[in-house]
Amino acid sequence: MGALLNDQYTFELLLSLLIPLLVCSCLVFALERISLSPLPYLLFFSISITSILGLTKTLTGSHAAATNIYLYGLSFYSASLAYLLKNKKLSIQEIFHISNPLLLITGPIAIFVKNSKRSISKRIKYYFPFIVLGLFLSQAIAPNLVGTFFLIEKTDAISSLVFAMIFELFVYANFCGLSLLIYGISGVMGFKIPLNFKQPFSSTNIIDFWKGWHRTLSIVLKGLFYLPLKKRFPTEIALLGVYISSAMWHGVSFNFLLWGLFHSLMFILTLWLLRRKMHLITFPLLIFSIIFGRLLFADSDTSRLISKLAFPYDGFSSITLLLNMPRMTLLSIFLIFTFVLCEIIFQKYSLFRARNYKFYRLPIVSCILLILTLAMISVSDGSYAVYGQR
Amino acid sequence: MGAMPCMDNVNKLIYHFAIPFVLIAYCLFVIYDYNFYDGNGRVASIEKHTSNIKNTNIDALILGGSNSYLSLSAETLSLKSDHSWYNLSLFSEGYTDENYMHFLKEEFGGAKSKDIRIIIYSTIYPNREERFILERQTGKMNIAGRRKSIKPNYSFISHIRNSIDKGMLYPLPNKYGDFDFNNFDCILKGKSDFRPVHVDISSVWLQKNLISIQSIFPDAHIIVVSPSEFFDNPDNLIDTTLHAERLFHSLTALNKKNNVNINFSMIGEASYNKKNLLCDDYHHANSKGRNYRTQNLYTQIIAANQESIRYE
Repeated sequence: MGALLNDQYTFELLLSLLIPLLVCSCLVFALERISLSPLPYLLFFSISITSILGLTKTLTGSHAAATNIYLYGLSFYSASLAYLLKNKKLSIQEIFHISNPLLLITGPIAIFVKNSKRSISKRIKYYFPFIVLGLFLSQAIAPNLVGTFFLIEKTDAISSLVFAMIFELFVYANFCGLSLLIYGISGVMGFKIPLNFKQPFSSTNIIDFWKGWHRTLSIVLKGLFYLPLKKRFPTEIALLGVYISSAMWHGVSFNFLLWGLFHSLMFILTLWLLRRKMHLITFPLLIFSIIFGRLLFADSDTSRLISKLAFPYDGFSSITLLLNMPRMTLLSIFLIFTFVLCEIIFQKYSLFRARNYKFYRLPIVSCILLILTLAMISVSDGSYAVYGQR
Repeated sequence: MGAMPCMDNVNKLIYHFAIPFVLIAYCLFVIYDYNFYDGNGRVASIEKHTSNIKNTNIDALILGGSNSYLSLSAETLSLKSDHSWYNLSLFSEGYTDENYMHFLKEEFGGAKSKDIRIIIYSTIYPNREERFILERQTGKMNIAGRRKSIKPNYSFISHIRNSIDKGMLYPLPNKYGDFDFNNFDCILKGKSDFRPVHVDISSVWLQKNLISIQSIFPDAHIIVVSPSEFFDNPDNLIDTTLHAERLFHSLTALNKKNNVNINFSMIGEASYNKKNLLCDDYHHANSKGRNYRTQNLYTQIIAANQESIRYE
C-alpha cells in the first residue's frame, strides 16, 4: 500500500514537473520557428512562470484570497502590456490606463478605454441599469454561491457535474457582474470601456459562446496568438495554440492543459459541424463543453481530478447536501439559473438578440433587480474577486 | 401607438420615484440594522453572561467559541469535579482576539480573576483555514459580530425570516453559561471544514492568546483542547488528534525559543462519526452529543493529570 502511494506520488511529481517543461519548450520552439519577437510573449507568460515557481496560484476561480500581494494583478498587467507591445501601442498614457486598480479585476479591459461624449444625465440614464445588474450578479448572487464550494472535494460523478454546473454559474455571476459594475461606473464617470461579457449563454454553439465570454482577453489572445499563427499554420493549429496559451496563462497545471486541449477540440469540432450545416448537434455540444470544460477548469488538484474523470457513481448525496444549504444559497441558485435560462430560451427575441442585457436594463426589470439586490445583500457574505488577484 | 406615452410615464415613475424610494428605504434599513443589531441573540447572550457571573462563585472556566458553547457543559463538569465551572464561550470567540480578551478582562477584573484555578480553552481555529486566524487579528467586527459597512449585517430577507421564525434566534445561556437546547431546534446544515492551518502559524497565534489568558488569570492552569468534530469518512478520524499533537510540540518549542512560561497542557479530542450527536454543524454537538463530549473530555483530563501532562 505504501509503495503504491509512493509510486502515485512520484508519478504526480513527475507529471507536475514535466508538463510545464514540455509546454514551455514547445512554446519556445514554436516562437523560434515562426521568428516572432519574444518579448510580448515573455510578458504574457510571466504569470505562467510565477505559477511554475509557486509564487502565484492557478486561476481556477475557487481561491478566495491573493497568494502573493506583490504579484497582485500580474496576469492582467502582463497580458495588457504584451498586447500593447505587440501592437506597438505602448505609451506612458496607456500604462497609466492599465494601472487603474478598478479595472484590474475585470480583465485586460483597460487597454480599450475611450472618453464618452454623452452628457452626465444621459450617461446616468444609460449606465445606471448596468450598475444595478452588476450589483445583482456580483453582490447578491455570487457571494451566496460560495457556500457550495465544498462540493469540489467530492469525486463521484453526480457531485462533480453538479459542482461544475454551479461553479459555472458562480463564475458567470461574479466575473460578469464585476465587469458590468465597472462598465457602468466607468460609463457614468465618462470612460467608455467594452462590455466584457455579452450574454454568452445566448449562443447556439461554443464558438458563439466564446464571442460573449471575457471578450477583452479573447481580443488579446487573438492579437498575440491566433493571427500570427494563422498566417503560417492551418486554422486548427492556430486554435490549438490559442487555447494552450490561454490555459498556461490561467496556470501551469494538468487540469489547464486538459482544459485547453478539450476546448480547442470542441471549437474545431463545432467548426466542422457548422461547415456541414449540422446545427442541431452544436447546441448539445455547447452544453457539454461548458459543463465538462468547467469540471476540468475548476480543479487543479491532479489526483482528485483524475478520480473525478473516472466518473464513479455514488448516489445522489450531493443533491441532498445541496438541498440542506441555507435558503439564501438555494434562492441564489434558482435566480442565476433562471437568469441563464432566459438568455438561452429567449435569445431570438428582440430584447435579447443584441446580446447587451437589454431586457435586464428595462426600467421595470432594473427596479425589480435593485429591490432583490438590496433585500439579499449583507456584509457577512463579503465579496469574492475571481480573476485579477491571483 | 397610444401605449408608448403610457410606457414613458411608467418609466419616468420608476426612475423618479420608485428607484429613489428603494434607495432611501435601503439607507434607512442599514441604519436600523446597525443600531438594532443583536446577532440573532448574541448580544442578549453576552449580557446574560455578565449578569450570571456577578452572582456566582467560579473557580473554573470553559473558554472558546461555538464548539465549546454548544458541545461542553459547565454544569456536568461542576457535578463531576470539585470545581465550580462556568462556560464563558462566545460564538466565534467574540470574532476577534482583541474583543474576547477585552471581554474576559471586563468580566474578571481585579481579585476575581485570581479565583480561577483551571481553564479549558477549546478553540477550533487551528483546525480551520489560515484566513480565519488572520481575520481574528485584523477584523473590525464587535464582540457580537457587528461590522461597520454600507451593507447590512443581515440581509433584509434574513430580518424578515427571523421575525417570522423565532427558532433562528440563539437562546440565552443557563446559569452555568451552557447553551440551552430546550429552546433551539437542531437542524444539521454544516459540512466538514477540517482544513488545519500549518502548526507553525497556529502555534504563534495560540501562544499570543495563551499569554493574554494567563495574564488575565495568573493562577490558572490552561488546558488547551483541540475539539472533536464529526467526519463523514471514518478514515479521517485520526486527523484531529495527530494535528493536536503536532501543534503541542510546535507550541512547546516556540515557548522555549521565546522564553515564554505558560502553565498549560493540551488535549486532542478524538473525532467521531455519529451523526445523531450533532446539532446544526459538524463541530456543534446536540444535547446528547454534549454529554458524550463532556464526559470524554473529563475522562481525558483525569487521565492526563495522572500522566502529569499530555503528549510529553
